[in-house]
Amino acid sequence: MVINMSRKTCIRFGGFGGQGIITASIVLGHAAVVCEGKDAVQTQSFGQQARGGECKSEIIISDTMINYYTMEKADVQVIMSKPALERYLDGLRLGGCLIIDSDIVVSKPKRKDIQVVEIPATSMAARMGKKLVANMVMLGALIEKTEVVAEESLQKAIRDLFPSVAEINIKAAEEGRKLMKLRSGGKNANLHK
Amino acid sequence: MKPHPNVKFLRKGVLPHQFCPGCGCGQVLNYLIYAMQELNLDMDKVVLLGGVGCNSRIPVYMNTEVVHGTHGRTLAWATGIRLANPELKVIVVTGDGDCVSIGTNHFVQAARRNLDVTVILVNNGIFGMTGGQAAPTTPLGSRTSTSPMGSMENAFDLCKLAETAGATYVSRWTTAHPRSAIRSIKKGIEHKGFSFIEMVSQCPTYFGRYVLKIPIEKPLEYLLWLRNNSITKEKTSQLSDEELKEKIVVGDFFEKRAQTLIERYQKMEKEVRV
Amino acid sequence: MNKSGEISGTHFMLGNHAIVEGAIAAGCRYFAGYPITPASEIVERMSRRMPEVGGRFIQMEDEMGAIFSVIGASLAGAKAMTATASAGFNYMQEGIGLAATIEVPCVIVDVPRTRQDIQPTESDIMQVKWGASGDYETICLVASSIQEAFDLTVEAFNFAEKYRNPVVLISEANISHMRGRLEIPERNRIKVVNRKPATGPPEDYLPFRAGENGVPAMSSFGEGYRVLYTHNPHDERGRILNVEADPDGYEKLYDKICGKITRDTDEIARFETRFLDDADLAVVSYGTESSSALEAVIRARSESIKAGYVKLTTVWPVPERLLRDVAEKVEKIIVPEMNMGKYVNEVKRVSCGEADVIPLSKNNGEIHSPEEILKRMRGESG
Repeated sequence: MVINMSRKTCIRFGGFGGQGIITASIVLGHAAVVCEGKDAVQTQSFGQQARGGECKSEIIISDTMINYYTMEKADVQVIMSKPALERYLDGLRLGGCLIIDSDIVVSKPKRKDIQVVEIPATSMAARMGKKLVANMVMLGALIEKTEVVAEESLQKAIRDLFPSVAEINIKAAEEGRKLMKLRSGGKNANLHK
Repeated sequence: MKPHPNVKFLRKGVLPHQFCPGCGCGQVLNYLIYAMQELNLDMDKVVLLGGVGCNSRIPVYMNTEVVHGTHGRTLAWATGIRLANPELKVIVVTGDGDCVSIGTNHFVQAARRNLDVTVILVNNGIFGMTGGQAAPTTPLGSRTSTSPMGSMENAFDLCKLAETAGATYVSRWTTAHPRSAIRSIKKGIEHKGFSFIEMVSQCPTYFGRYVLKIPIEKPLEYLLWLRNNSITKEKTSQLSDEELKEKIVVGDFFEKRAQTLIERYQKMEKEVRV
Repeated sequence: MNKSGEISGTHFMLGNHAIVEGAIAAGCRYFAGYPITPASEIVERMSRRMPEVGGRFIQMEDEMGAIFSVIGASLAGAKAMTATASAGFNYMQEGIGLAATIEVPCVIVDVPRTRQDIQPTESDIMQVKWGASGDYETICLVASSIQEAFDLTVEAFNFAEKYRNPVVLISEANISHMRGRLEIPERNRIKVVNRKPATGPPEDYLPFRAGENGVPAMSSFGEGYRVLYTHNPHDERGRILNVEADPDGYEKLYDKICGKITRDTDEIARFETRFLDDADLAVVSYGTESSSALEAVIRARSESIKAGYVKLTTVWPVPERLLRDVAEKVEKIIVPEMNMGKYVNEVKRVSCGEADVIPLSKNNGEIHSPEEILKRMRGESG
């Protein structure tokens, strides 16, 4: 694991309400804070997520205490809808990483100064028999790419939060990690400033 | 001279009272004291609540726990008091302005919940303390300080309102029916659930002068008018609708034993703790 | 969760939920609320948590119902709370005025928000203190992190109980709706203050006589003290004042209910200062603006601007001693606020011209960016 004490990662999730965008960020925050003793703050668009509209969740994870909560630019964006791709593209920093669910977002982002990784999360989740776990596939891919939390922490967070449906969610995250490994050929230590 | 045995129900140092000569508030206070005395209530466990207005001032004179002085909020206080300590007996003494003008929402919601509380609503048909303005109980066509051409609004039938909202004991008397009033107040206090007693009362200063045209110095005439204009609900079938319009129908209108709010909480809490 | 339903340990928790857990830790066992965004998560969680900890929850018919039932519950001996947001906070003013006048401890959470987009705002900051008619004081604390949402809820109850007064806790929309790190200590490591109970025979008990710290001891309904609580001006026994018989009565009453708070301002003042020692400029902020303010001060220091940081946690009563000291130390005070410039006037009043007090106002639902505050520090406009 790459350990860098001043590490602070800004992650933005975007998609439609009902895809588990916010759930994914809560699982991640729980893994970082409760399982790893880090600091994290998460904010989200409110109201819309319950009504099926556009949905956004932002989380900052840091090894040290976070004083300033506003995310100016994201290091990583996890995108699960076309409107979210367009709306938040400018919010990704130069050289940042864009992880998209390629089953839903078919168009290519216009920016050339970022890394783009396509993860077919929804079809993977469908193959597993539960489309709802696409968010966990994306989350698995995210942690494989960023190492923002350890795999065991993510698994523990899932068990803490969804004890009755932990196994399928853990498996989905694992599939996401595998997909990411295949695409990026390993870890990306340069992601952090 | 031996003091009256019921003096112990009165708070020390708060007399003389502020009611006008001939006002019905003193009578209702008296009936309430008789009811408490006959029930032999533990006065340490009684909470009396009054909002703002002449009628709402009645609790101020009573030697119990008392909250007074915010217009219309008695039933909200009652809700907090009952839920926080179900052992307390909570009695609201309120007026028509306090309870069914500014406080209507709390009143109907507390009745809907069947909150264990007794509401004695002293209805004088007008805003007394503020100078004789129209109330939601002022009869259609009545001239008051704010309806100089005659009121253009229908008056509430408070007992129907209470029953519709969910009160489980509903009764109406006037200040000219002391024994029946005391009996109903006692029944209301003993009743499990939301009990409502409307006490139609005289306001010689305003309603008497403005609406009934009874001279202010003749409150007895007013009392006799209350008595002679009342009819027990059993006798209403003998009158036409037109004749009934002019009458005050008195009696016990509704009584039912239903699960109270506190009983529902207690049941739920047992389940949560298991 | 322990046997009494309380939780401890590390959590990744929503601000509104942290407030609920803080209330429970402080001993809150009665909650009445009325749903309103962005305070609804407090109401929802309370509906589940109160029965678990042996308390009672009720959803009232409106905000007035909520605050007045909270007052009733407190009179009956329970530690009680309600929560609302700006529009609902308007309705609660009457209850806050009553609670202050008849000296009933209670906690009111206000989650200030803009009307349409449910974004944070600080435009309620004066209403907290001046919202009800009559003379009274409130204590107001503002949370600026998830941990503070918990800690200050406990503190709010402690102040309410200590001073027999309503206490307002402000958690701006973005704190209430943010998730973050929360450490809940074990129950025995949380300092909890309870109201001073009435003692002795009922005939000797004066429910409104100033005791230690100017605060009267308080009985609960049903203990035999048979207290008269009236919103009207009253004497030490609770009887409605007769001005002819007692011409000084009003002043004695209002001096007591205001003075017990204002005279203890230093005791109630909670604040945080950083980089002040050599500062010739200070940023005074409260709430979430302080997160930007701190960031701006840190960036300013890297530009060799001698900036200091002052975060007010207690907003009411105004921490006058602190602000006066800051004004004497620095030449310039910048007050960023998410409103049209309100609390800045309190800073000006207390500074008495010792420092140049500059408002930095913004009311579009966004907090100031550090860059916006920096610009003002550099003396640039806009």
